[in-house]
Amino acid sequence: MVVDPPETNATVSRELALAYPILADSDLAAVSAYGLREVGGGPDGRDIARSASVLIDRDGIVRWRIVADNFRVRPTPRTVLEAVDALDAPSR
Amino acid sequence: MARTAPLDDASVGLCRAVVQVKSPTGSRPGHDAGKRLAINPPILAFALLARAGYGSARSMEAPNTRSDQPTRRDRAALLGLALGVGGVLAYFLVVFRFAAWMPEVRNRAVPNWILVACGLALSALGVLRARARPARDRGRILAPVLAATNVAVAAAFAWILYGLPALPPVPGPPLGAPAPDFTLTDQSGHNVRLADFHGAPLLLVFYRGHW
Repeated sequence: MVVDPPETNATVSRELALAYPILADSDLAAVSAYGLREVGGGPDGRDIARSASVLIDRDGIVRWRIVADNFRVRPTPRTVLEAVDALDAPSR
Repeated sequence: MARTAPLDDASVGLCRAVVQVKSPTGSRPGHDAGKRLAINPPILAFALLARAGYGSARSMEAPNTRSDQPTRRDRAALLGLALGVGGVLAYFLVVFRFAAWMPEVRNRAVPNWILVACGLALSALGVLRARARPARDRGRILAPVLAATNVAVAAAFAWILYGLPALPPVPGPPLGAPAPDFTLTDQSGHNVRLADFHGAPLLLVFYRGHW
């Protein structure tokens, strides 16, 4: 999910051969609903989304999230996979 | 004057570190090789450090060494700055180019900080050696200048990694609550709703944007 328009996302998706959809949230409606609006964080002072990963379970409940406090640091694939595995752990 | 010297311990250690990096013995594909690569830079750096010390000790015996010019005794100071700058440049040249393949290095920069630390240690060694030189010797000034540059580079690296990209906190979605619904357009122009994914786990990744 990103504030860029679908045309930009189509280019990025093609160049990086992404297997998942990129959703355009140009007016930051969903970004704001998820509490991830970063005021003035864009290159021209516009609002953008904070880097974040949110894991939603089969019932539509938010079960895990990582919100960046440093835009250089992102969760590793292993961290995300462990969170996905924990979704189905019996001790929930 | 040609001189032959027996291989000292430091040189042997250096060769061993390089060989280990290039051809991990008994390596299994994937994980193991990566681990070995991650462990070897410190060995390599330590061997280089020891080699620098040995080289400058030998140069003290060398005849016709003009003390008013930077000599092999400055090797520790020069190598220290090279390691420090190399560790920082490697982060930007390698990690930003191949960040997807080395997320841990991108996030934590551990190999780079090891290189910078070894470089700073060598710089300190260079300064200590320079203090032992005659008062009018240019090397007395060179080593501290190189060391100060090295410290400045390390400080700038720390600021670029931890100061510059630091962001004020945002709340994020509350855990245990229903995820807010949305209808958004994907890269092909189709509308996508959160409800479309009901019944399967869904990972939503929020990106800053493409610029």
